[in-house]
Amino acid sequence: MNTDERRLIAESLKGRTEAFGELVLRYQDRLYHAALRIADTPEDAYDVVQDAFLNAYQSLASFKGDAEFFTWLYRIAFNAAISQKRKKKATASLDAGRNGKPIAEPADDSHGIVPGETMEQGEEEAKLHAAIRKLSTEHRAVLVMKDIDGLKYEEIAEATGVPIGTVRSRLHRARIDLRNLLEADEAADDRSWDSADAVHT
Amino acid sequence: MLGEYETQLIAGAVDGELSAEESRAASALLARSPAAAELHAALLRDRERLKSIPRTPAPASLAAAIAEAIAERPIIVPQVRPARRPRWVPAALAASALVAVASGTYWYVADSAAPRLAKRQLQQLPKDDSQFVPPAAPGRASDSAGAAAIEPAPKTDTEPKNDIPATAVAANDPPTKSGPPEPTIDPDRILAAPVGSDVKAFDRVDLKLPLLATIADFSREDTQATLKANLARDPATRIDVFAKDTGKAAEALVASARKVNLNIQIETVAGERLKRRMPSAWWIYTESLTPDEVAKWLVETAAAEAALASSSEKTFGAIHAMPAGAPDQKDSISLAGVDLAKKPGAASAHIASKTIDQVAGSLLKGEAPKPGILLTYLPPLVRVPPQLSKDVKQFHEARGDRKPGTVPLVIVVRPAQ
Repeated sequence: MNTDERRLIAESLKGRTEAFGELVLRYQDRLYHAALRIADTPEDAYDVVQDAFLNAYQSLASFKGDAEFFTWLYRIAFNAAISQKRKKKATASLDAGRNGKPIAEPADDSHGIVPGETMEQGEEEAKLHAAIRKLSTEHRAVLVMKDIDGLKYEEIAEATGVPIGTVRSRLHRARIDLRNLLEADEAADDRSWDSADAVHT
Repeated sequence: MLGEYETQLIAGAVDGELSAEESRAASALLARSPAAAELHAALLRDRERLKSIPRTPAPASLAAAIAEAIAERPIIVPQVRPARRPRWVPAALAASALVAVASGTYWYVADSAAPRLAKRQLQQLPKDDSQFVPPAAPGRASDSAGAAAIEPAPKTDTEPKNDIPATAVAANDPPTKSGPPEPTIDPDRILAAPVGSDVKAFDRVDLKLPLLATIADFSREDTQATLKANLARDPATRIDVFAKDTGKAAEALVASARKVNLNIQIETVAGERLKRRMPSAWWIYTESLTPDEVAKWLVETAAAEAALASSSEKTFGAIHAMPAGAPDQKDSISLAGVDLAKKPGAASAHIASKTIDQVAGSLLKGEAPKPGILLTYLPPLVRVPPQLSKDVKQFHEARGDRKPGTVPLVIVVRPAQ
């Protein structure tokens, strides 16, 4: 952790909320980008990031500084995402129990796509995002931490609170599962092209 | 078809975190297996696709929403809960020792009493009956050996065919001398120490129970007396003050300290947190007061609390006074560089320093204020080391050597649950 971060944390602990605001500005984009891939919707990602920063602020006194601040923040965000997922699941099952039908909407794969991208890029990203969303939260998180944020096994272990061996095996499983999902998607595309060709001919 | 180990190796290669040995194994695998090479290439493509996702900036409203929410939520300072040995441990140890000794004594007496009684009876028999063989107790080798040394009487034809030897009958007959054997006092058979005996009683277990009171209780003389006795008995004391508003309680203690001529210096960070009404636990230390003065300080605090108009203004909850332990010593050193175990410096104080004290005292025409310090618990990361703190340094300069009769006292103001 650099001295500037240390200073900002110390000042936050003295009650200077502006110092914590600087930390928020420094990390909000990175955390939000990761949260977009871990959470189900941009709204959920927004909530996860907001909760993560609030929890980090309230627990700042317990941050010992033996890990990077961002890794610590990531851990809080990861836990927030997991707990949000559980809450949603519980609510959905409760609602399903009431009227026999699940209230939760099916996942909308178009979420998280940046407007202004070309159609191809948008489609490509949507497919990738849809495939990622089919992974478990734990698998999504390690994949995002590794490939999007470039964290090392050790840092991912720190952030997720699991041993390095588990990180490695989760990443392995996540990569293979993602590959299978994308392959299945590509195969479906090929089939639809074939059937379209058949209709035209 | 690739196995689990092969796919793990390939995924590890994509992660870029293989050991040297694994890298060699992965290279060999990719060279010999087209399926492995294909999977490796596909996983690398997936990784690049993930990496190339354009970064989506956080919505503009996020930072503002966080700032707004933070303003309403304070930082939670973790409470310092020093680990202490449970107070029942000495009593449990004493009870265990008692049980062990009692069991051992019982076993010994129960096991050896019968053969020894028989031996004693044998000694009381007429000489002709000395052929009686006392029954040996099972498992007592020495007694069995002793019994074997006495040969049984040879059988004669005139003796009746009877399982009970005549000697045994004789032994059970009334002795030829007179009366029953004299009662003997055998210390080995005493299970418990009778009153007035020379057998030492077990040492008394001295349990030092904490003083539990409320601030209002300190207006009572019996509470004051107990506190004074505790303070005088222990090398150092910690008083835990539980409060609804710890900042208010700390300020009340600082204010009432002046009435016993104690000037509590407030460390800069602690002062800032007090000013901003930030929830914290506070640590107050002084070693300049006698037990009487400490009691008076709490009496003054109680009076100030009692003078408050409404009960909603009152903040003090329970108060625990107990001997300071190793965790308190550790805290004192790390927070203020204070050694609680340090003895009064009167004996080692040289004449010049005493003289200076006396001269300074007379010049001031009154007693100089006694020093104390107030700090707050912060995580070690952001804590100013005591040797670098200007306030702590000033406190150390002001405190000098501890005077005889004074007691080291730590007051920890904690939030009431």
